[in-house]
Amino acid sequence: MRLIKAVHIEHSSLLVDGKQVYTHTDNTAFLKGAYTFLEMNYIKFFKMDAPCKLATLASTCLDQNTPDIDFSGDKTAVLLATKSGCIESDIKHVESYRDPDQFFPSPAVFVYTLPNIMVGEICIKHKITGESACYMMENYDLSMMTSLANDLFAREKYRYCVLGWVDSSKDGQEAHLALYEKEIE
Amino acid sequence: MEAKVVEGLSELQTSIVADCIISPIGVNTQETVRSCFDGLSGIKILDDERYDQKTTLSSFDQNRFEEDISPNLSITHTRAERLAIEAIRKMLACQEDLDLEKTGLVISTTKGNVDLLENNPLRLDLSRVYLHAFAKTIAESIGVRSTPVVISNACISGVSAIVMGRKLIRLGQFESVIVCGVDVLSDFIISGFHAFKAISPKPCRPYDADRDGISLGEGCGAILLRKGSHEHVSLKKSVRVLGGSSTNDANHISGPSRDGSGLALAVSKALESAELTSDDIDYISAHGTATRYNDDMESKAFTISGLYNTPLNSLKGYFGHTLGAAGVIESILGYNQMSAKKILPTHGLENIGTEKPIKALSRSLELEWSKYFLKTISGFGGFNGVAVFEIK
Amino acid sequence: MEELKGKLKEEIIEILNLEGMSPEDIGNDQTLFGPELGLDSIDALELIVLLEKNYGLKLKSAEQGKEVFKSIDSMAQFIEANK
Repeated sequence: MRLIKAVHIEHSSLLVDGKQVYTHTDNTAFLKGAYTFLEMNYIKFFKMDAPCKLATLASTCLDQNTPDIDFSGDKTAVLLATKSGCIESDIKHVESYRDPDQFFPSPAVFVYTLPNIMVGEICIKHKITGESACYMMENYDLSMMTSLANDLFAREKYRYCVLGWVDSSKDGQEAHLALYEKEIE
Repeated sequence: MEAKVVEGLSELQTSIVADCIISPIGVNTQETVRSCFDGLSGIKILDDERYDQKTTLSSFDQNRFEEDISPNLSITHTRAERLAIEAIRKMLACQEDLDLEKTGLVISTTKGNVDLLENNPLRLDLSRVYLHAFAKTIAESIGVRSTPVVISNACISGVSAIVMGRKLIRLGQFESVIVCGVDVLSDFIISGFHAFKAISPKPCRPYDADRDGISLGEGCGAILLRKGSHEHVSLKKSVRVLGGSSTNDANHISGPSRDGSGLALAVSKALESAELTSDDIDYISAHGTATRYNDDMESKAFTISGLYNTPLNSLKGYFGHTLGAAGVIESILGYNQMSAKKILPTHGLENIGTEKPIKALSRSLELEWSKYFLKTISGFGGFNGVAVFEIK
Repeated sequence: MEELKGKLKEEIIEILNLEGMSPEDIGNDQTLFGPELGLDSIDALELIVLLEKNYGLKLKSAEQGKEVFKSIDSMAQFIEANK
């Protein structure tokens, strides 16, 4: 498979194909700053939890400045891996019901307590309806993820694959997303 | 034609050789299947004053759980871990020749050990909340050395895990793969589904005109996949996973697509991967959560797929919605029904009330032909999953 | 009543994360679930929690929610009538 574009978000910096395009000194302001920088104009963004924000920021970058490439539809797969998943939303949800006198579980928090929601958010943003999956792993297993993508290219009618790692926890936020295309022989 | 011949080579096949379901209505597959055919349901009604409405769920009797489910691990392991370990151990009891060195493990769960965040009476290491650590604990207890693959695709996880297990064998990574779907109930899940106003105050009634929400459930299903053509140890038949898919609605993170196109796409991709058409399918073990929108969505999807006349049922009335375990438990039930040539009624269904007419069974049905069936499932994140099975 | 409506707008903007909106942007009789605010079914459920948490009011059903959450006017009326 052929790499079309790679996006990295770490240490509050956004890199496209290795070049830094945006950075911010403040961690919390970074996500909103990057949203503005990318001119996303996507109001749902502000309802998302951090991993979903990271995932959609990165996927938006994959989609920009590539006029010849349309990865919407069922020819595209989205395969993501994460360690922390939605742990921050999990903790927030637990806090909303643990005290019996302040028992107000929030549907808007609960909906983000599934790690695969970030895959769903990417699919919604880019209208991708193909293979979608979320794997939980301690460290990014590049060889497994690549072999899964290669298998989809080889055995099924896939043309593109958004492949990567998104992780958000108190220790930091990162996203490494790449867009691959099937190699045409 | 030639491709078909190659696919037919036995080493490219993936057979299901053993399994184990542990549910509130049975401590193993045989007992659970018998309970279903006897019309038993694990669903009970709870009145918890913290909620406006009653809660319906299928959960283990705590005393029986302590006695039956890995009692030797009661102070070192969580409920979810004990359940998974017990199911896998029972399943492997008659598999002496299995080489665990060459065996993979795929774990499917939505929330694993999340209850440790709300309550940790055993003072276990909190890092076991991470699903990779949860899976590693299970792998160590059963003696699998390889790093487990963990799939968390919300409610479709179990189906995704079976399809993944087949893929790992096909990619040549393992000779055998253990697939285990497990989820347990806690305030975390119950309070969330109440906040969604999704829980029915009465036992769920999939596809019924009067359905008004889900009943939750907990349980575990384990399956042993093997490369090549092998007989299932207790059914004495060949049970094969032929293919599968997981697709996305790209519509909404919590609501099912209104038109059913996402699930219909998953069905067509799965059939394509199995080299079958909808006419080949003798039965569908469908999702049927008993929410208004889900069941209507499925009726539209099956109409698009040309499966509106194919007998189907939902098993949620027996187990509740067992989340990450559902896909595995319901697939095992699927081929057990096929093997018996008898399809279970949808527990709780009296009068069909879906937007499009479908052949949801309210009474049991004897099958003349029972070779191929689909397990279909949908979940949060807009995910739809389908697996294709063959029994002969 | 006007004070209550202003307060409601602020609460809605905060709880539903309506980024970049200020209370003046929401009209008292504006349809809340129309295209302008982009609210969805999860937001409707979240408004049920808001009424419970901040005003001690419980809705009997989602159907009732449809009426109550029509606009800021209808929400304020419901709160006043059930105080």
